[in-house]
Amino acid sequence: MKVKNLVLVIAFCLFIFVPGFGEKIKMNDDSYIQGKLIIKDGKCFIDSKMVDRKKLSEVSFVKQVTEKNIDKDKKVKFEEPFSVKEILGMVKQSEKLKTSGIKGIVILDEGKFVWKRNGTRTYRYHFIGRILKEAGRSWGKIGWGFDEDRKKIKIILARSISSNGKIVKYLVHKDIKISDPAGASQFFSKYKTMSAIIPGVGNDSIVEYIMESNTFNPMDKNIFSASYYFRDFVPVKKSKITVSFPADKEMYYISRRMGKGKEKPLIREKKGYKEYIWELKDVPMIVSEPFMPPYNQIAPVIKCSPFKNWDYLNKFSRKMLKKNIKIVPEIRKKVKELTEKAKSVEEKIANIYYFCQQEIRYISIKSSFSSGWAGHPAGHTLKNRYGDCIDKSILFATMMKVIGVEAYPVGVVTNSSGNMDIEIPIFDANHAISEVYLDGKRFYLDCTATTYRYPYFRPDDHGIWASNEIMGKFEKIDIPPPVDNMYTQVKRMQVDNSGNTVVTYQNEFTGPQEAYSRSFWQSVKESERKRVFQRSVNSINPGAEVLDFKFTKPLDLSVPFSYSAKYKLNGYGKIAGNLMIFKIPGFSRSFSSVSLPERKYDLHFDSSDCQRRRTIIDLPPGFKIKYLPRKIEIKNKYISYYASYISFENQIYFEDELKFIKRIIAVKDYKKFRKALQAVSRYSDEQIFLEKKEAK
Amino acid sequence: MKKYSILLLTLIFLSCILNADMVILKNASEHIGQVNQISDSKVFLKDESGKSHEFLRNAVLKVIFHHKKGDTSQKTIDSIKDEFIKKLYKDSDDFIKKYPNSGYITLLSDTKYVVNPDLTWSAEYHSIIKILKERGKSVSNRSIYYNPDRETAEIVTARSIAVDGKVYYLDDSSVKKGSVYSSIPQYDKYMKIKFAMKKAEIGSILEIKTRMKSYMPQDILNPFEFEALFRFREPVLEKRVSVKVPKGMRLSIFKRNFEDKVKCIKTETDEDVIYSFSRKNLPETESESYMPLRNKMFPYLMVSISEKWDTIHNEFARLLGRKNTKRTELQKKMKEVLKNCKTIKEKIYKAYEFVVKEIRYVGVSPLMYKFEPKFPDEILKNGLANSIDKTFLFYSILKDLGVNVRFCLMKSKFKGDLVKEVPNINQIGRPVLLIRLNGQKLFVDCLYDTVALGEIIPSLQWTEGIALDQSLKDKFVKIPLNSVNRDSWKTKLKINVLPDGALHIIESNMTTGMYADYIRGWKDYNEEELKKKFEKIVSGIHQKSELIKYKLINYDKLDRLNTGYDIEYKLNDYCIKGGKKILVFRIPSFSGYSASSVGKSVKERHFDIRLNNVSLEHNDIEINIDKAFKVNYLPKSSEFSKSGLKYSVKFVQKGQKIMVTDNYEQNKLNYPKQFYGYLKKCLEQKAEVGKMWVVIERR
Repeated sequence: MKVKNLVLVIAFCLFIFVPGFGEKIKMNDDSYIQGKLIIKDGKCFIDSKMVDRKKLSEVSFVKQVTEKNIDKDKKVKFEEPFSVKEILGMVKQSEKLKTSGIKGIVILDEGKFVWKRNGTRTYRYHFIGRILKEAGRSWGKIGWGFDEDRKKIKIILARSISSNGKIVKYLVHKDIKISDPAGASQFFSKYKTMSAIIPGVGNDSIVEYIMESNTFNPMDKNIFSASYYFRDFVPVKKSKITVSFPADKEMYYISRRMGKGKEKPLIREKKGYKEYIWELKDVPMIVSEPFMPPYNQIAPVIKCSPFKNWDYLNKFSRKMLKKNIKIVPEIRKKVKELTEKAKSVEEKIANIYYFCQQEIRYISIKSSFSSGWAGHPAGHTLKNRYGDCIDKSILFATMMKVIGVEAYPVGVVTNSSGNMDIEIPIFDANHAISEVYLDGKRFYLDCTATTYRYPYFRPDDHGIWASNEIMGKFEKIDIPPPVDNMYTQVKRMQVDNSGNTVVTYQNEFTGPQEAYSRSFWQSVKESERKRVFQRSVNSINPGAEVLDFKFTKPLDLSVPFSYSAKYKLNGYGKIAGNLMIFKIPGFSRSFSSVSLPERKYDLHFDSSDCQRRRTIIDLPPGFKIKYLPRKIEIKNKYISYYASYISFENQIYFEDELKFIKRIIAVKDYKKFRKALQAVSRYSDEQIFLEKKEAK
Repeated sequence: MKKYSILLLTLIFLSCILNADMVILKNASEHIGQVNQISDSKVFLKDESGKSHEFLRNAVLKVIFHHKKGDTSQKTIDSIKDEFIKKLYKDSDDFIKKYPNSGYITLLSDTKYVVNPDLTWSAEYHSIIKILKERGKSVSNRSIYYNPDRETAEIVTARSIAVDGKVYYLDDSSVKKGSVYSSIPQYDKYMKIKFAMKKAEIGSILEIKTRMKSYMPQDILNPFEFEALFRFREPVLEKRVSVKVPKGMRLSIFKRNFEDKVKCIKTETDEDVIYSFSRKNLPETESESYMPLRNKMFPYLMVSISEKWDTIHNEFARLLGRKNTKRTELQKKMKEVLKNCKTIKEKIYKAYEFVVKEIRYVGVSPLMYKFEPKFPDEILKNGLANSIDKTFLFYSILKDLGVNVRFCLMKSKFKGDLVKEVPNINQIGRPVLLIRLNGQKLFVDCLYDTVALGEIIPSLQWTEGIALDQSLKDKFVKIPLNSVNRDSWKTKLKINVLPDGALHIIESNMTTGMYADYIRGWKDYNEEELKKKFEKIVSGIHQKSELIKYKLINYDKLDRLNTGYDIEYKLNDYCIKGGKKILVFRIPSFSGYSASSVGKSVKERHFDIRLNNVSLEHNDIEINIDKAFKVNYLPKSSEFSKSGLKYSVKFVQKGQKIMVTDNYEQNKLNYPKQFYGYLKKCLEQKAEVGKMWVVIERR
């Protein structure tokens, strides 16, 4: 190569990739300055120029690598692994996966994780999708969130191809946007998003993009993980993942639902790196069903970690968590205030539980991994009177420490989101709750809600693993018995000869059912409670009148929540000739969970539960019983149900109890389960038939 | 003394740790306190307990400076200078007793607008709120929206005065400035500053002052205007709104329901005129079903700088002309799309189908972006568009086809009536097109791919707006209310009651209007999902159901106003036994009838009635009773009709056949409060039919 050309080449490279010098300083007006910040004797200087501290927003000490002078109108096409012709060929091969009405087919879903020797890592994702109808066009929208002090995101390629291959439209650089998303009202984080919309995406286009994230500044060079799921709600032609790491390191993995012979990776070695490769082809689509398991419990998955056990990760987290579980005078004072009148340790725990639920508002502030994973110091949360799940559980643990009760913040994956894989050490939790030890017993409390009476806690925490990073162990949270999530109703009905019925009832609750009821009623203005009752009773029978109602205080967690009401249903007992027909008002059961005759997946509920009803019916004097439904009893490993009507003089006594014992119904048992629930539902349609007494 | 001074100095110093700055290390740990020094090599921080920390500069990832909002020298209620707030704090214990139903009370809401001679403007919003109940705490999460191309926004003061009198200031740790539509780069303009107040407890008083300033002068497309309501769901002790304008600048002011409730004062100085509006003791409002819009019922104010509708019209017409230029790609595309169309009607339909299906609608209001449309070729290239751009694209296509089309901007029904006295474009944010073809007028809404050509959704019916194009003639346009047949659900059922008490049903449903839109939305299901949908429908009627077959009709055809489905199913074990011989059943189609929305008694009703839409629901049912049974009892027919609200049901027996016809019509939208009793009666009568039994007896 000629020297002149060489010089030009070098200059060109510098032109493209010039490392920026100095730190990046953000001002309050959202402008950025690159320079060196010094603060001394109360004065602030940027490159020796004085600046008002109040105008400073933040300073990043990370060396900035800026890509300069990219032609903004240029196509985003740093690489092109496949030609248009090749892609059309791939699309043709996927035709057999097409079924009626699907929104598209994923032609290629390929990820590559690379963990480098210096601890930095990249993740590259390549997607090709064939859109078949309008709903598939969302594939043309791409976006990734990132922490700009640790990661850089780059779009390598983004284009749409018409179905005949003749029109290809590329994303251009000027249409890529990096912004701070505003997000939901309770969440405050420093993450940015890179987003773009690929042009020319139509209802039968092919979409292709390659994105790459480069973590140039990992928080810990030794911590690495890779997770990959292989299925979608459309058919997938080819799904592949490569995990590349230094050959002298170990990589442990788990694989689930990959299919026979696909659990183990293909292993290759290349230039001092080992590659683990998994690939699935012609992956059938997931079709949604009601109450189905979460996606990450259905889709084939692999998860990788360089750790054989949890020691390293636990040590990493433990340090941060322990730092935040610090008793400060304000905490001690507050605990004293909350517990001085308590008669027992349990009452103390309960009072603190209620405080952390109701007096610490849910606001999530995440500045980096530390506050994201390990929250803020307990004193800070107490002072601000807000925090998120980890903040609340840290505060709770700290307050427990004051009264000498052992408690820890623990990480969980809520049951609506999947399952924590305890065999593979990776940071996986999506929520934090509290693990408490008292008198040899271990139990759990969740401070993020505001309406749970002690010792109940949210049902999406039931039946899952809890990761106690401080103690370095996992424990399974049991599903509470159905009576710990119970709704009980006692009712009296007085029916007259015209079918007018006065109903008095009382509802009582435990567990999540109590919490939901509290939550609903505390959101209703006291002056609007009558309206809510009116709506409810008028839906039972038009023309109903609410006569009275009473509540315990919805937010007083020291007493069980209950309410009672009295109402009149005019003409409730329907006269049909010489018959009067009615059933217990509000006693209708239907189960959308068993609406399908067949299923592919297990049924997943939150938790166990129980409903119990007792009703006494005072019969109208002019009528006698013609027909009462027979008693019913159903029992299997998932539910138990019994109900009976008993007549005695001028009264009918009814009782029933429905228990859901387990949270998960195996699909192989679905038909039996369905039949049982259909029988329960059908029974709730049964009517009481009275007949006019003959005139004497 | 020395000891005391040291203690005093320490206390002062500790209290001077005003800021909760944050130092984030590269190893992800975080440290909160005041950063008091950054040298060449180190960062020094004093934490909240007074302990000093130092970090190597090259171990630090980031330092975030958290500034407090407000005069932080006022640390307790005693040191607060504002006597008004001090008095509120002193008197505030009463409020919890005085307002037992309220989640919070606004003690003061004061908004001050200032318009400058150069037509820039500023607005200062000052609120003082006391939290009374748990559900009132939501008021401590706030947001300010603004357009950074024209405006700046800032939090001036935000502090909570706790029950013990201590004052807590908002700081940047719980303030986030972010983009509202970051995931839609083509429409990403508006910013939001959201923040969460500290120490928001029951009994806390929150004081928030924010400011917005425009640095661009107002104009036709970005007018200075505001609305104010003088009654809300929760009580307000005092609400004030004022606007100061230079003398000689005219304002358009509209007031509704003011009477003697709102005080209006006009003050003049040498240079300015100030219009002030205030009301004290605004009561809370209880919600009811079918409530009219609050701006219709309660004292309402709308103000803008005086403008004429003609000027707005002409300006926007010119804009449409200017923007309807870069469209060569669009023309090429339409040539291809319309190549097989012979008549103009066919072309209009095909073009409509293209716009609704090929250009994805994104719900970014022109108020959160701009009224100026993009060029047609840009809209085409993007493949997605908000309401203005999508409508403009279709407008451009129709213009090229030589169709008589007008671009209209309407005021959505959910925002209230068009206030003609205050001409400003912000009122009319909803575009539609008005086409004239063969002497007929057709309004076209081209946003959604579930709306047929010529169908108008309920929120646009009975709305008024302005047609903004070349001709000033008939510039005000009104979209009429549909006739009930245009928003209807008609069902034909054939029910066979089988000897075992099961029902075999063949059902045919045909819908128009909003009901048809609902069914067209099923186009996104694949075949398996659609089957499950129908299985769920029949399971919702009766748990022991069996889907036999189904078929969708016209659901993907946008040139047909009607859409429907046929379905055949069996309801096993449906009839209920009442002994050895008696069986009873309810008509399955009527099982969803409910009178829950009219539970309130007549005498308790507070407000007039506003229904959302006209509608017609009609069932023709033929029930064949197996000859093993005889009909023992039929419900009685009934009828109700008053002022456009009708319900009737007829049961007629013809041997083993029972013919049932039921019909419900809502022909009007607005009724006075006194009509509530009739509405209640009508809906209860309808719901009653759903509870009635047909009694059959085994022969």
